[in-house]
Amino acid sequence: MTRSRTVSRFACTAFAVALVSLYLLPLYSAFADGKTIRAVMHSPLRITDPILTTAYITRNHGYMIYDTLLGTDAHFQVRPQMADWTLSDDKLTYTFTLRDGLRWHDGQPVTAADCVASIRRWAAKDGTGQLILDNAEALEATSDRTITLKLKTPLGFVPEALGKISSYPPFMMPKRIAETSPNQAITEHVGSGPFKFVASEFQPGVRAVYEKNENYVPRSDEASWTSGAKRVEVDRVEWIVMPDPQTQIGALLSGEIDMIEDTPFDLIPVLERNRDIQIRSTDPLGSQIVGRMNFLHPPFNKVEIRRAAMLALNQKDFLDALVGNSKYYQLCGAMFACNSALATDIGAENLFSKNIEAARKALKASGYDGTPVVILHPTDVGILKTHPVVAAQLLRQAGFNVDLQALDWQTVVSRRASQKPPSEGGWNMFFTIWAGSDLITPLVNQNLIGRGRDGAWFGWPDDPRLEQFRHAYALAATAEERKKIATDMQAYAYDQVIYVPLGQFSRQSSWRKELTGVADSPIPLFWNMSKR
Amino acid sequence: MALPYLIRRLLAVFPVMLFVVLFVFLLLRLAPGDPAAVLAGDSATPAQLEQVRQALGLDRSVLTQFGLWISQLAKGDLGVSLISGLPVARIIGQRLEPTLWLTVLTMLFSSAAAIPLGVIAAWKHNKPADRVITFATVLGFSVPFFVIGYVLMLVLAIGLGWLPVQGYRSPAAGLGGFLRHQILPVLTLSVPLIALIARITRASMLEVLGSDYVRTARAKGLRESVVLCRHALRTASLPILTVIGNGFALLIGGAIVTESIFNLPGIGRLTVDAVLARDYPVIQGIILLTSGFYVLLNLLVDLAYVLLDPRVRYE
Repeated sequence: MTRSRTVSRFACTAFAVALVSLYLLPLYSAFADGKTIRAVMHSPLRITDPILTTAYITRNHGYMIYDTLLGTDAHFQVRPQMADWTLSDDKLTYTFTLRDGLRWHDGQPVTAADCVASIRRWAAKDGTGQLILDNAEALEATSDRTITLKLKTPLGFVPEALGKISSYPPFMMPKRIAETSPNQAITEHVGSGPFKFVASEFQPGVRAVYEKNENYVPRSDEASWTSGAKRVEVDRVEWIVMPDPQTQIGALLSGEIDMIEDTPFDLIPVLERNRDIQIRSTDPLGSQIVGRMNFLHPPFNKVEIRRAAMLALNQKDFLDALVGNSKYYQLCGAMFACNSALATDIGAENLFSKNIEAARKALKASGYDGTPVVILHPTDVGILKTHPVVAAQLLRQAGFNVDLQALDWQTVVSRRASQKPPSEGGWNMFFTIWAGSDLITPLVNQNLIGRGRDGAWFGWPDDPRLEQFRHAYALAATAEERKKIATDMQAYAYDQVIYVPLGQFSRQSSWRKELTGVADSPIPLFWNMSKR
Repeated sequence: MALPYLIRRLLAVFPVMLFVVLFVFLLLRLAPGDPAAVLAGDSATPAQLEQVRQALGLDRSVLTQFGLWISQLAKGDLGVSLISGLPVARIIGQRLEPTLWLTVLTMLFSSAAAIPLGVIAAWKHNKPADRVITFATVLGFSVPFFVIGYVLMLVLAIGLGWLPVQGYRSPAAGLGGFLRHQILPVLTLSVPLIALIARITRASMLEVLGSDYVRTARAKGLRESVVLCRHALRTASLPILTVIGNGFALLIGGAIVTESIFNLPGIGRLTVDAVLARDYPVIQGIILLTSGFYVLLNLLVDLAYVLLDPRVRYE
């Protein structure tokens, strides 16, 4: 045998041994660690300050590491969380008392002064918080554990605001952090919540890691949504970013991850065939498709033309294009989200059927002069790219002159902020999706703000009547009163076509059956979840 | 090799990179989009959006922003991400390792597979082996990265369960895990590169094998392997080396897709994310890094010519 042959044979043997040894090594280190939950969330975490942005993923990150003074349960009741509260007989003074055992992640005790600073930072950004501070005579720490809020006029929604579940939730932070400007990102991530943020392992757009807060003292009452006992049953939770949906499915099937928060609808059948996978919607409030018109410029500055446009749109077409399977969506006219305490279909009747002929007649009667309707069409976000196409087709059928402009989502986001006419880079209509939890009351539903150019959400309706409804809701003392105001407000908003709800759908979460305790909640919650 | 030439080439790197960063800086500011909108979130009011814009310094003139960035750069500071608030150097540093390993392993594997294939195809010119290799290279070059990636994933990871579907393990955490996570992405990225290098090798070898000195070598009774590898391949290697150098550009493009499919937290994915979020400092940092890398790589290829071909001289 020649020397070169010996060398070749040795090389081949070494290669084969190396290959075999690769397979003898554990396939995936995760299998050795049963106390880590690996989840692919609906979007990557990049911004970690929950008061800086309204991004849902940042809000969810907030719930991992921060706690709130009050929580909301599945019956929309506000319950004590970090604090219990009392209201004076004249309904002007709220007193919040912190419960025992609350500590920040750095070991320091939670004080009332910390919470006052946190409320102030939150209120600088949040609409309901602003209303409270505008009506506050004093907000102060009257002892280490007592926060006192004195109002100029009674406000029935104070507990509701401090226990609100979605953007912006009033998360509590240590005073030194809460004193950061609300427009500047915090750089320290110290909360008092059930998980600690592992900043050293954070890679924006790649993964975020949380570990159990061993010092957290859970409440003793039953867990429900953001209230009650938050017991952590695992050591770590890793949020893994996986941009490709096919890869997510493959990783879940192979056990490399435990959970997908938002499973693509078209890939659900692949998972349904596997007995180890559970698929279910955990968000009882779902998400709504919303069409928004620009009130500043023709043709939608005229209510008759807005009405004709709404008449042309029907929810089923939008839901079929986006979701496909009717098992996962529902026709829903409730501006405050179906399944919420304020849900009603009043005013939405025309959205449940095709009315193209009626829309054509209404458009003719409105005096529409053929002004182009510029619709912003984001083509790079799967969940947002179907609505403009459907709308364009329906509006064209009704007789509108539609200019559908294809853009990437970030361009849409910056362009929709432009108040210029459509011919100068503005727009007439765009579509988005709201989580139901951000719609559930007149105070949190930003589509219903009527403060015009300087205070309303994109589209900028200037409608004092809307503000009167919101004000009345804020002052209302009983649930019945609130329901009545919300119903009247919705009827009015549909009449004026403040915006067009285009159906509600349920995002489907999927997880391996080794995971138990996956809770139903508008927010993905990792406490009380365990892994076999 | 003339030292002045080397110094001249190294000094030329700086104006090239300066031009690139200036161009990219202006291009980014001209492109539509607003990082403040990303930061403020979907339900921010116009007033809140403006506050965020001011906090980020985006309300300043482009010239002022450029001046600030260049002065930071002069101090070796790439700035901070507008979105995450983390230092750009740290973000890029975290993402560099997976891409470096992916490109280096792909290049090594591709070269090791493609050069022998090209040599065999040229040696067996117009015979069945040549035809099979030529057909395979055409196929390999025509199939998109994502098709190759999904097929490999479906068969080897999901179907057979031999390899992990996704993810990255650092070699520091164990060589076995590292290699297992590299196999699918490297194979995916290698297919078109093998096709490219094999075709160039074949063409270059065919030209050389017809030369008089090869005929002379054969007439002297040298073994065919010696004629092919020691005499012909060395002369044919200049175009191959050029293609390998340029192949890194192909790899960076392919890495964006491959990193997404196999969930590798590399520079390719970071670039896409930063562009979509209009995270200007991160995009500028990446461009600076990659342009510097390309310029240096081209320099290395030029220098390697001298080693491989004694006829090449730089004055």
